[in-house]
Amino acid sequence: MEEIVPYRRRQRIELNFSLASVNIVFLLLLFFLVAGALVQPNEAEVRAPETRTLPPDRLPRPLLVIDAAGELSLDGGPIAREALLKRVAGSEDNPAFTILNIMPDRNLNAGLVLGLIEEIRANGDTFVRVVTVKD
Amino acid sequence: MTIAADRVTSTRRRRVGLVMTPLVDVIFLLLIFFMLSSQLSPISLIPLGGGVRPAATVSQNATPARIDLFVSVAADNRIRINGLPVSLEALPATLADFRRSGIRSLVIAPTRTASIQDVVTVFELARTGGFDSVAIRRSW
Repeated sequence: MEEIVPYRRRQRIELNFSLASVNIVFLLLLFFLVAGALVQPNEAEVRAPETRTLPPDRLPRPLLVIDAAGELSLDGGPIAREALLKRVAGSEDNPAFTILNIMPDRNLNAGLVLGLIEEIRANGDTFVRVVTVKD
Repeated sequence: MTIAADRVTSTRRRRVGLVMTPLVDVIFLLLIFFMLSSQLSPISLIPLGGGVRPAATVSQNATPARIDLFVSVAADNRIRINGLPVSLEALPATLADFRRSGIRSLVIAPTRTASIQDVVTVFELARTGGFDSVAIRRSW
């Protein structure tokens, strides 16, 4: 025999998952905000040198990318070598960099990269860091 | 007067609940934006110095007062310490031996064929080997 359930009692049961799902999405959003760093399209294409043991860090700015063809780009915009050296030396409008992060392609010739770093140091008091990817 | 006014507003507002859909839409869009535009691969930085010393004293030929170890790096991980060839696998043990014997400074000199990855690999081993001063110098 089936129990006869009054109609009113059945109607009350109404599940609402919207608040719970919004909470989860909020958590995901927070995670990506904290864990991620915004990248320019060409910065994602360069394969930076690999390291294993150095402490992890976030993608720093200002970031100078040297792609596999040796082309330079500063924070996503292409820049000529002379313009970069002028920018490093600083001007009235743009103060000189105190720190410059260089992300070279891992297969680039070491002498080419070191030569550029030497020129940067000769043009301004810039602390140079090389960006690597933790394997 | 005031009581009557309150009653009017309360009856008007009664039906307006919290509308969740536009909020969820915006949050979802933000989530998708950050998922697509952010990079999760962990980054490590190698400080190469500069900025502290005046620029005039930093030159290609500037060397520390005393070089104990001279590590030259060529392509395909061909490494020489003070002229003697060492394989990449044996390098950590070799560096540890030198470190134990009291040597504290090291210069990495990439040759023309070395890639930046070769230099970074050796630099990392030297750093984790406990040397006080690790310098990178072009040898030509």
